[in-house]
Amino acid sequence: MKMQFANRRQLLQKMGAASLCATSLVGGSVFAAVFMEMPQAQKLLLPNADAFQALPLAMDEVRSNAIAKASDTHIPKNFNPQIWRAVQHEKALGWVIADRVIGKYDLIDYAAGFDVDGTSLGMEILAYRESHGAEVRQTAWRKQFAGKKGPSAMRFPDDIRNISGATLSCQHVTEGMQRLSALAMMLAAGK
Amino acid sequence: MKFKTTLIAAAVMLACQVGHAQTAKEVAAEMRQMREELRQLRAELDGLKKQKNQEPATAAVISAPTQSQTSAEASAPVKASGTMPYANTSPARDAEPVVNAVNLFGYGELNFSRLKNSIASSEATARRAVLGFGYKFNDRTRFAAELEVEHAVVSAEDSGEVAFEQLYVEHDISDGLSAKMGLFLLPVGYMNESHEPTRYYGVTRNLVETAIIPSTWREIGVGFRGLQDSGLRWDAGVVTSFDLTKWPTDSAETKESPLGSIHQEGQKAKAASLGYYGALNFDGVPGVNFGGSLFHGGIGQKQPTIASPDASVTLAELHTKWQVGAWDLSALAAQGWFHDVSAFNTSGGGVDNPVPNQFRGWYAQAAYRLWRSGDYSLVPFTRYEHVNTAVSYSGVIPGQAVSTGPDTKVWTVGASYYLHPQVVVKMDIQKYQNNSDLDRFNMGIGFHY
Repeated sequence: MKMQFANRRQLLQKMGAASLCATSLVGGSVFAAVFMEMPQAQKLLLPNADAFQALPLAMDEVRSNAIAKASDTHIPKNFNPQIWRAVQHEKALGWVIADRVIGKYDLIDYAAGFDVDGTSLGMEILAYRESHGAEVRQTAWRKQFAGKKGPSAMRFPDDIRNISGATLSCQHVTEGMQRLSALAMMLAAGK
Repeated sequence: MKFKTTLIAAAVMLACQVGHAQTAKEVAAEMRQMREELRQLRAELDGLKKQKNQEPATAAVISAPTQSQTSAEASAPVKASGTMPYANTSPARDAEPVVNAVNLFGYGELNFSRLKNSIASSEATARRAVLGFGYKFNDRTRFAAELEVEHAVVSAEDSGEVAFEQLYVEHDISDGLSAKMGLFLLPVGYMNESHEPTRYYGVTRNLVETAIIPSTWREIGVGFRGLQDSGLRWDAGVVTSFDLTKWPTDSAETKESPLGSIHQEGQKAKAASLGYYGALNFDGVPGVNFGGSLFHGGIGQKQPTIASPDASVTLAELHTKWQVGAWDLSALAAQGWFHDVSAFNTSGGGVDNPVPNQFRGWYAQAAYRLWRSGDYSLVPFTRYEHVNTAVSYSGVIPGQAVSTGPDTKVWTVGASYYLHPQVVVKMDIQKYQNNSDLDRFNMGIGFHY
């Protein structure tokens, strides 16, 4: 699979309910090597879905603490993953959850798919901003998450193996995926 | 501003037009209404400006995506079809933060060594303190540098050293292909590029990647890196090389590291003869890495002051690493050849410390994560190394007393205790099979950020 480099201008053009605000952002400094748009990722993660409904979910202290405990990870500052419910003919197929983590010193945007039981269907890297550790984009590494249910099934480096020379990116993305998995398990349980 | 001007002009024109049909009182009332609307618009604009001005202040704070959609917008389903006519519904993108273009990173390591048979030689030192910094010019072009201070103090009376280990500009030519220009680390072995103390086992760096591969080996030049989704990574480049005029002809210090004795490190490097490198790595199976590299470069640098102005060196290296479950297994072998150095060795009636034809070394290492709890983990390890920095010579005058070797064989046994994946306390014992005077106990702390 050839890695895709999406058009950032197109992304920025879409940014705007508020066009004035969008104009000011275009003029600002937005640093990102965007590889994939969210809709692309949604379709790749849950290809049978015919709609993705945004699901607002307040990341309150109770929920954050529950995720921290279940995933055995630290909750990053401003942790606020975005959730979409994937449906096909009004029937729920699962969720797509997007989040970002710091690789070595900059942000990695990624999205994960989960079925209605909370089992991971895979993950996609949306944007990567560093010169080292970009190997997390490789299909073979990302495929490790598919089929794993719950954060304890994706521990680094036991269940999700490392890539030599990209340790921090691998570890931090895995920890992020553990948090999303914990969240997916909560959604699956109707919490 | 343009928007406001247009509104005012429209208001005036409208007022003029209606003026024909309305009384002056009605016109005045409409003008008042217009003024009120303008005031409200101005307030909205000021609010937006204020919002924009606040963004740089929050830029340094790397934040998670924030919810920017209203619940009404958020609950609206986005229909999918084969042609992907999605709206961009990612609040994460809508709220894309302006990440600070300046990055700071670095590492440090402090060591203590006590020789078994020479307690008087015990030493503690702030071995390395490295400040790394980078700047992103845009999403494709960035700069990075690492400034290193060795042994804490640098002055006329001290043996410390200050050096730029890296100083380069990197440019992404396309997705998966990038170029480096400047002073950068060569992609040789494991340690040369990933040399932070948390990344390797043992208090000190392994012997093979110090004596045979002169880590931290950097050169000035241009290099390319390709990364494929299959897991194949390739590197190739043209850089500066070594300088044979630095070879100490009367001292055996080169036995510690032949290439380390003649490296140039971007310090007024002689560049009459360049070096060429290539490397291949395969990471297509998670947890497993295979790779190798080849370097060839001129070392005589066309210098008329030495007898071998066309001398050169070749260094070949193979490596593999298996990180499966709690195990971390690795092995590396490196072999170097000096070419056309006979005349240099023969010159002046025969140099006391000739340049060898070959130098080589290999190691095998096994580490096992015995225990882990949260950020803490304990990883014992053992490593066997075999290094020979002078395998054979050519051009040595018959009868001249020169020695090959030493054929150094070292066992290192120890443990890394991680307080955090980026902070490690280390301890090990090293046993030199050919020279017990070098047997030692080491302790150290290392971190990177």
